[in-house]
Amino acid sequence: MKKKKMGTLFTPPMMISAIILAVILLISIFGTLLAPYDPEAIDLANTYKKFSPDHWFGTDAMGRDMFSRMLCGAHTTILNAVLVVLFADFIGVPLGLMCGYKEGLLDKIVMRIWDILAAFPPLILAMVFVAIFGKGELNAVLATGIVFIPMISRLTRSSVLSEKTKTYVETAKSLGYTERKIIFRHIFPNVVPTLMAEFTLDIGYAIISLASLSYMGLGVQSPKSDWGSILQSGMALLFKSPTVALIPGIAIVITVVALNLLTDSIQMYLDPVQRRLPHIMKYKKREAKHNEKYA
Amino acid sequence: MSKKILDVKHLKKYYPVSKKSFLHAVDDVSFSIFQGEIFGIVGESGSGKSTIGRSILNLIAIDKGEIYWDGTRIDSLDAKGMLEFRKKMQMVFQNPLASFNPKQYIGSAFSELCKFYKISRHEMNEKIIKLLELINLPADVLTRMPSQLSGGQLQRLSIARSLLLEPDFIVADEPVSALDVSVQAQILNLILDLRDKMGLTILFISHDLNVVERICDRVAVMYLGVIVEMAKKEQLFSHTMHPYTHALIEVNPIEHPSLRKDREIIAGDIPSAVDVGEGCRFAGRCQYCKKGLCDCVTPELIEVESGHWVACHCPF
Repeated sequence: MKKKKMGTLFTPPMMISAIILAVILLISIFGTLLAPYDPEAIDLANTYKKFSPDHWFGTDAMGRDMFSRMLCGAHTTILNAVLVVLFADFIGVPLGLMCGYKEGLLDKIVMRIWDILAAFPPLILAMVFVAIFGKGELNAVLATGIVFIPMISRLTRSSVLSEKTKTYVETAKSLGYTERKIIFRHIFPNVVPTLMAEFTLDIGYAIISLASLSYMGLGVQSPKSDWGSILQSGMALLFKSPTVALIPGIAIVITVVALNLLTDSIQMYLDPVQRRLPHIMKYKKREAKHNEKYA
Repeated sequence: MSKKILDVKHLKKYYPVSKKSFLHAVDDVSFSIFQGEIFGIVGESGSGKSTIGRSILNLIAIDKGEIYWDGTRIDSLDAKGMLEFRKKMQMVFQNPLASFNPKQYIGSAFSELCKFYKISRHEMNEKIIKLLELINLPADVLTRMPSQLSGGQLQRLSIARSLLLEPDFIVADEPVSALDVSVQAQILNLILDLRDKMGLTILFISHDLNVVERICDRVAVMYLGVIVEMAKKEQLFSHTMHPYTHALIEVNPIEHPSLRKDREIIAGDIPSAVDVGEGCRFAGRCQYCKKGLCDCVTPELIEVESGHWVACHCPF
């Protein structure tokens, strides 16, 4: 019985990525408590240290413990990236749903604005918004979020455009359902798999975007640091002590790859056609309940 | 004769192809449907059958004409005004799998509809059980996703869903053409059964003459957006008047090989419906076409004998 359940949502790639992400999430929440050293303590006697039992990931140019810095940086990195995408989804998805379904003047205006925004490189755009809002962590999050909105609402819109031509939408119309009900109850669940994929992918992009802003001193302000700013600080030391850049780089790669794997599994699970023999047990239970009720 | 329940008058629907040319999907079509009958519309693909069905339910806006439901004009109503009529008129679509939301359990599709029309939970359960009995499916289909059911099961469920609000009138848009023959028979019997049990009036859209002959009381034959012949089923099949109907019946497959004979098959394809000019639309393919008459003057749909309407200058 248990094996059948394993075949549905809990595929091996899903399990591996979920475990990795769970660890990263735990680190990002409790990292500050686990850090053996103060991540900001400068120890000029111990600069550029290699891996050792004292300093697991070595030390950087100012002798700060890399392990502690990574643990504490995880918190800022993950939290901010999630915030960016949540913010962008919160505005972009409803906008995309409306534009895609109505296709009227609103759609034209919004899409032209996105066209204009798309003409600028995303990073430049984020910098412009930071310049408007002023630098700082929260403003960097907000700016990156705004840059992500066009992408998300476009994706939502195009999914809606292909969904709304399907017969079930026409059926819903013929049953007299209101527009809002059709959009949110019928079309939205059918675009969720696409959005899920985008969501987790975007977290990866957000990590990188925020890192870039931090590098330019527009995002996370020193002495606070995220993986991005650690990575960028390591760029200058690439030949002297490559580990300083490598460790946050590897951390970002692992996170993003795990996110993508998770996305794939979720997407497969949410697609009833691709789903492998789903919920046999659940049906059996429902059936039993139903029979009980109407016996 | 029972009373008129639906009246379609001079229905026109044009789709713009470019700024100046239009596709005449439906061009000046008028007919009435009487209570309790199954009215069939047959025609090739692109003849405007489905457009008529969708216009009646106000799913697409019509360009000209009037549609009356029991004396009330419904073509100009907005979504709110239409709501009251949605309960009385339902639609069954061609592709049963596509007409259910793929992310919704069948049961939830049913309960959603009931909730929307504020039917109490108790009444809903009773109704659903009754309907499932009627369509002869076990209750556990309610716990399935649409992708887990067969086309025949889904089509029966889709009919059941359209009956949930106890409508008087159903537009069945090619309800059996996506199904294989044995399942077709089941669905057709179900439809006939429902008509007898619930007194439904049905607009049955199809391209299959055999199906239409089996199920309909009256039939309208459409060609390129116009009705060319409209009659009681018996009249239509025994005393065909329009050359196009004649050709359609001719090409209908005959089951028994020894009954097969040489038949006249009309040449060519259905022409483009973009910017159709004056004259009979069938003139180009008609072997009885009279030069100077058929290709210049549009024939009116006239009642040649009681209940038998033809739009042809030289009917058989």
